[in-house]
Amino acid sequence: MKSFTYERARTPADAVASAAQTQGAKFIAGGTNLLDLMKLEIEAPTHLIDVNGLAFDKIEATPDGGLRIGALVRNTDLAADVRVRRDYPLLSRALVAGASGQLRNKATTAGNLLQRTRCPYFYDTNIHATNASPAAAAPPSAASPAIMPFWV
Amino acid sequence: MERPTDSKGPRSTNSDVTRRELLAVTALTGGAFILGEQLLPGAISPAAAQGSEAGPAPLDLALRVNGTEHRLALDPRTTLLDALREHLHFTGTKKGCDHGQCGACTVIVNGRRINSCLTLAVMHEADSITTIEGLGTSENPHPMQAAFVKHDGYQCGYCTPGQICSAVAVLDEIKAGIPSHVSADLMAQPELTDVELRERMSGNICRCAAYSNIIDAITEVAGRKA
Repeated sequence: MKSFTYERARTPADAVASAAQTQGAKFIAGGTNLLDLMKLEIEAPTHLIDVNGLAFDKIEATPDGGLRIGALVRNTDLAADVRVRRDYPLLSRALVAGASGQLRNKATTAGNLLQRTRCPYFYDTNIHATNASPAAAAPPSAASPAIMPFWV
Repeated sequence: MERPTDSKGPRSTNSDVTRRELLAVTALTGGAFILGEQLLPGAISPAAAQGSEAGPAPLDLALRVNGTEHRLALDPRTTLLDALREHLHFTGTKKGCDHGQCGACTVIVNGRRINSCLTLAVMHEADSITTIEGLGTSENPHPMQAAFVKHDGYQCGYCTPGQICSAVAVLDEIKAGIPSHVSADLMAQPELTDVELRERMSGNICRCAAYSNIIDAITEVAGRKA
């Protein structure tokens, strides 16, 4: 894993300001996707801004009868919320169909939407640089024949 | 704790090498034991696991593990798993895949099971962390530990600490009414069926395939609680 500096954001404004000021900074919440990619050095942020302490972990009813889901609501909590189970069962079903209990306890709603692709070529460190910079893409000669159909 | 003896009498001092000492030797001797390293990635040194690049200044932090606070100075890259094993020497928690897929590193944080390999130690300053060492001891085991022994819920034992931490949390999740992929009715209290337990334990892989005995152990503990 490439080295990085770490800070715990105290307010949303601090988090946004820090991200704007620091080149190569990334937010971290559950970390189940980002840390996996950092271990493979597919992601290499220079600075991590931990947003777990920000109070975006609520599920609130909206005046028009909907639900507002906080960015930091964990997958487990969203799937188990009685309003989601009763009124949005597909969302509950979709959540519990993915990952494992351990991962769902950590993974957040916003992080889920921000997950990077799980395609094999993205995880292949011989060719993944092309994802970061399409202009610098090397010919996909290093790709195994099994994943060639994904390239185009 | 007394070591078992075989028919030839007490084991010689040569065989009294612990598994951990053996791992240290295989890690040092490198290529000659390459297969051992591949099978047990926990043997790789923390420096190698983190990359050789020099990092920023260590961060001071306190981790509350099994009810005791520990002060540490860690590279920000240190995962909770590496902090527990390499810095605090809670070696019960195991490193399997190191990518959140096998469940060997499962610990309970604030009452919830997580993969300690996919989270940074610095992100857990205010948390209460329970490892297998915090659940029970050889003399006074947690009911789940006793049930795993009784039902032979393991073979090699490498995944067992993660299985047990996960199993303890699974029963709490069922009690809390958290649904699973196999819950027929999302609004009903989840049932303690084999199918439910298998699905909920699917984040813990056992290469010895002790699965049916693991389910027997969990079922017994669940029955006792009910």
